[in-house]
Amino acid sequence: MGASAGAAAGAMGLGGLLTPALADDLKKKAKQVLFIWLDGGISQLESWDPKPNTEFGGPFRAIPTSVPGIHVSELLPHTAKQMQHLAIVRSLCTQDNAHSSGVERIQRGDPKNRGVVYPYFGSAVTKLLGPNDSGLPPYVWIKPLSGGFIHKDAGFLGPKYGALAFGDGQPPDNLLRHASVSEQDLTERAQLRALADKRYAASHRAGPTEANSFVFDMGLELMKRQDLFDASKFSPRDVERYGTHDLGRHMLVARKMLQAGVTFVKVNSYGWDTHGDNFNGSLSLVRKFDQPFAAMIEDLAESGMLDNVLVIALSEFGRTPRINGHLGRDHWPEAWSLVMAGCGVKRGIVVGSTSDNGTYVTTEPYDIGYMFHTWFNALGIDSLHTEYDNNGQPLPIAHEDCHPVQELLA
Amino acid sequence: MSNAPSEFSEPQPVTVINTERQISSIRFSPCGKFLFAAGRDAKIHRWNVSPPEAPVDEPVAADEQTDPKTKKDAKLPEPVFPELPPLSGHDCWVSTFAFHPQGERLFSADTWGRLICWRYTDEAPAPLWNIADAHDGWIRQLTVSPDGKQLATCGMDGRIRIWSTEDGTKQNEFGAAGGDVFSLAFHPDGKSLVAGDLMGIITHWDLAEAKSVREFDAKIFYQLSRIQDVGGVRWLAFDAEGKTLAAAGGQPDGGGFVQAVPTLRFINWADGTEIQTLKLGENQDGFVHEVAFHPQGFWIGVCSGQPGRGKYFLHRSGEEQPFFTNNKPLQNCHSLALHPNGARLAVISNVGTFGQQKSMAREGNYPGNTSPINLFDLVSPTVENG
Amino acid sequence: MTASHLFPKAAIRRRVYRVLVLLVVILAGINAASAGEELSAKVDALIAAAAKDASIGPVCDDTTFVRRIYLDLAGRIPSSQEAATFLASTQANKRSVLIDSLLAGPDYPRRMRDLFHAMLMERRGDNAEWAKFLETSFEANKPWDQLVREILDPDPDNEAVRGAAYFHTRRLEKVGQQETDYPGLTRDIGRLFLGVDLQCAQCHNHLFIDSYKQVDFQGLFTVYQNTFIRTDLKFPAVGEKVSSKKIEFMSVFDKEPLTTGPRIPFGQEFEIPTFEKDQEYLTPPDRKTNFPGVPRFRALQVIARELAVDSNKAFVDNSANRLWFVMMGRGLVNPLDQQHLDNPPSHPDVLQAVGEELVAQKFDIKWLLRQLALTETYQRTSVLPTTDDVPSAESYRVANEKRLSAEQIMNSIFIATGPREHSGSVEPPPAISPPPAVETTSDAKPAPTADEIRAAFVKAFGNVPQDPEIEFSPSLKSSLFVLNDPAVLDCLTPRPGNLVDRLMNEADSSAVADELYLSVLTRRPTDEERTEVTDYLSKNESRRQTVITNLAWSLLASTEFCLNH
Repeated sequence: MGASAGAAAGAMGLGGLLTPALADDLKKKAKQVLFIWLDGGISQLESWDPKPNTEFGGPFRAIPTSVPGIHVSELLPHTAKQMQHLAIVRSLCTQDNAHSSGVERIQRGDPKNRGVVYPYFGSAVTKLLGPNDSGLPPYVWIKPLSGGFIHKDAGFLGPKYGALAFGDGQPPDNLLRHASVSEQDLTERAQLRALADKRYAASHRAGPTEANSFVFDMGLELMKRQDLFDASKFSPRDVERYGTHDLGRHMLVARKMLQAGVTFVKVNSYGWDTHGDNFNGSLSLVRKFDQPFAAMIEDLAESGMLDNVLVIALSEFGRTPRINGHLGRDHWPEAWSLVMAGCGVKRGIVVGSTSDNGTYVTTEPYDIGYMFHTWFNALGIDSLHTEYDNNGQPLPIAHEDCHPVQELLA
Repeated sequence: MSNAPSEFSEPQPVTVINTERQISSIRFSPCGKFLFAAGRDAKIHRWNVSPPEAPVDEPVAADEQTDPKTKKDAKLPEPVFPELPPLSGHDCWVSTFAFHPQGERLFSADTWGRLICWRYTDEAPAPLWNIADAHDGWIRQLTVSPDGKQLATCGMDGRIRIWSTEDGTKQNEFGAAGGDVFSLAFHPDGKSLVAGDLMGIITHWDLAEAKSVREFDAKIFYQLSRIQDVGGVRWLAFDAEGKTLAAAGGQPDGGGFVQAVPTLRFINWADGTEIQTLKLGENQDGFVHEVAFHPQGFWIGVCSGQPGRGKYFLHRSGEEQPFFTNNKPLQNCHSLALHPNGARLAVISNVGTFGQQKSMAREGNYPGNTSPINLFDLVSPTVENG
Repeated sequence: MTASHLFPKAAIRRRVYRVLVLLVVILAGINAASAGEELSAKVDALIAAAAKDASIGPVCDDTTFVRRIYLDLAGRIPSSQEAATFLASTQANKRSVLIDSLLAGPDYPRRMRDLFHAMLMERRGDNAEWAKFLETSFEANKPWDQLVREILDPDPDNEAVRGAAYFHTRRLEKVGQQETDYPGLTRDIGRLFLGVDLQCAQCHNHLFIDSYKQVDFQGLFTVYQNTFIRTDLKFPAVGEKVSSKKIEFMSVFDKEPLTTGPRIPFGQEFEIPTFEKDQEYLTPPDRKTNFPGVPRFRALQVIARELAVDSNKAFVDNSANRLWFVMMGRGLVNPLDQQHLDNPPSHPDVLQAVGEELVAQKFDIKWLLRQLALTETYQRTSVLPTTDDVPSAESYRVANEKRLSAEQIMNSIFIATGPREHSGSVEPPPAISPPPAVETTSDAKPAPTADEIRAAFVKAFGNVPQDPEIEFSPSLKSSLFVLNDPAVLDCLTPRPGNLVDRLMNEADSSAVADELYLSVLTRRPTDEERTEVTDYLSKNESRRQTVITNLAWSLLASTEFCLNH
């Protein structure tokens, strides 16, 4: 692993100076992120910030959690038992109530307009945390439907920092060893290619062979890790705990990716835009999030991984307190919630609150920029003083009018 | 009322009762004097709908029947229905209620699982019996047996429970946890109970044997959209003789927003065959939320879909289309009530804003939507107006 | 000092004058006759001068040259036969003969078509008419300025060139629910034909590039926001609305309202003529046929006429720069679309010289490519002098390795693994019937078409749409493609006369090494490489085909193969 770490480091511009001791150190402290995106807008009133028996509170009850004094919606029974690991933010107040623009703005941290396209959080973390020594792609996206190489996430950082998407948790094209090539062939081919590249590099600039070797090594590594995708190899107990629905299966693949050392794993769930029939919708959707999310938190906590994995679950906005004629809720960026846990984050707390009827934030309102600052700091990145260098243009990594929320940081 | 079916002209609007909060369900009392509404404000509202005779000072001369100013026919004054103090005892949305067929008592249930029996004729009714945890969570439907001795409830805990109307003793239980039962109806002969669930299965329960004897396929009412279970058999109702079972809901075409074509299926009770499946609109029109059988031999149903879509309709089973549909301005109709005399109809709709505008909540200006109750006379040459 | 001072005697003065005049005439004649040689020599002199005392690499050997020039002018490596012929030739000027023959050959127009398709469309999509426009233009060696004018103002009535409109129409297509990307089209006109990226200047004067003003963007934008895709024709065609008023704009910073009519960046504004009512159209619209009409005043005509001309310095510089980039692997202005005062060319004098000659030769592309190919700068080795001394890319002290395009890689894989002799156009290997002995299910897919194979290569090796293909950037996509995709692996299946077949039929292991390296890497193996091949073969007698296939694969996957070094 050390050799490929060196190559990887070289390809990413660290000059291949990694000593074995330093590599071990980095490995121990390797930070990771699990980013769960509930696309469409999960209703905070049916999840993290219930207001039972108020005008806009809806039909559901609030239930106590494992942390006295903190209640969540009855639709999160499993997650309620994991509250001691979680931090809920109830005071989000953001700008955009449209999906098409809102999703981008939230995932890019809604920075000031500098004429550049900022990277999604995953691309940013991949860039700022640098390479890990897993030999696997640093930014993996598990989503329904199609997969592939998704470069637009990376914004001005460039396609290298894009995501490798596994559509429905399935591997990308050409991941399976072709039937005409045996394992032995594969090994011999890899050795021969590496040898050819070493010879060429002896008399040429180092960059091209480093880059070429990096992607071949990664391809071979991924090919060895069929276990990450092959559902028949998952333990039945895990499958049952996480659930056989799409989000359950995808969260289980996500856990395996994290265990394999991928730096940033994003999981998407779609269909949360409950403009109509919000209560029956939430009853179904929130429970299907609750099950795998709680299982994930439990697994990460038990294994000790939660100390180094930052977990975030959110949408592009919340939902209106007002209930419309189709018994639905509409978009509400004014006052909504997210949940986070893990690396660098305080555990078992709620930050911020909303008015009695849930219509506005009564404590300090936080735009998404505050969250980006907080997340970067939780990962050990000084968000106030770190900048990107975009061809000479210095750019802050998070909105410069915001700052980390100290209450959330451990 | 045993008039033969006759031609109906368009239902005539009578008045609109405005509410301050949204309403789940409305019913006329068996005596016909009151209209009750289960509120999402934890209260059961009631209005006196049997107005005294309007005083007529002088007969209006024929040539003065046209208002000289507007040249329109002078209208009789709109009736005003006074509201009585509401019934309080629930803590959350009152989701469903029903009257004892012989009157006097009313049974209501809420979304936290509470079941209450009231004597509704009291000036300030107090619960006769009150079960806080009749179900675990949302009780979706409550219905009383034809002989008034039992009531059945069902809900999101997947259970169907039979209670004594007298004292609330639980007498029986069907169903299983993990399900979600949306609708119930007793067969007019009192021996059977049908239940419709989220997944589109209608189960025929034999009450004497306390077991399921048949299942009807209503999967048209269900779709798994991504990870969301969408739809459900929203309403079940029998015709007067129990020959036809009507199952109401929507054929979903996507979750989230929820697109569904309002759908009504009529099932032959005797052999379980499908008589008719009626599509009542487009994707945005949503669900048929409730249907009721009119003694004159037709069905009345209400639909609600995307904001601004919805209607009520009158339909004879077997005909290709409803013979009357009222669309605008009535929107998002969630519940209906048929007066015992068969001549008056109440339909709740929705009024209010689309919630997404910039909030004025800090300034105290964030009104919720309400459910106006629209009253109509079902006019027919042979039907007397109540 | 005057002549009378130097040469007091009048007779001698007259003679000196005559001699001087004669000398001037002779020198002018030499200048005129050797203008060509002078550019390549001039370039080398200027590059050397700029390098000062630092060492400059020698010219590369024949094996490197033959591979490099085939890739650049024919879009593929030479077949082993073609390489062997060149290497064996003792002709003194064989390199310039090869250059000329490739420029005149059938691969040249296809190579240039592929190259400019990727450069101008940046993988947005494919279109047969556009491809035809490009290929026929390069076949005829159409002057570059004319080619650009045909793109800037496409002519729907000329079947051979109407496909040029695809440059516009593809960019005018709506993506989902988004607005038509007029700013994107405007930006690309600036980037690709003037070498300036005016994107930031849409909303304000560029914050750190003083020379890009908001009016430069807006003056162009007002033209392109008036264009649309014509729906009355079956081929790509762009229409224009009547230009009426100037565009209003203001900076997001100082909010001072300004207006402009159409203008070329850094140039003058053009007046929009006023017409009598009902006189604005040369040919009026026809609702019945959906014909949008042809306005009397067409801004695209003005743009074409004023932008792509030898008097437009930005146009000349950009043309010179991009053609330089094609041969040298790096723009004199780098990135190619960032020319401004704070990002000057690495060798302003070279850019100037190339631009001037290009103009003098009336934008003759073949002429310029030939000149550049004849330079020592082009023919320099890419081998580093020592590992301590790594020259910067812009110094040209050693040649820059160039990224190969998806098309070059595909063609080269087919040539490398194909028969010794190559003829005609480059095709994927023919389908094998019956299919090779690999487990296939009964409902196996039909063999892919040549277009599908090409699309697979582009998907694997090309950049994402709108990302210019400049640097060598291998990806997981491309490595998995080479590892496992049938399009690549099938090339290694033996067929009569192809590489694997020939190698299998060669009993002598040393000869196997020679043929392998010549066919795939266009060179001879080193002793070490030869030993490696013979050892590997001798240890695996029973798996000979597999060993040969593995060897061939490993060379195809190597960095040396997928670069133009």
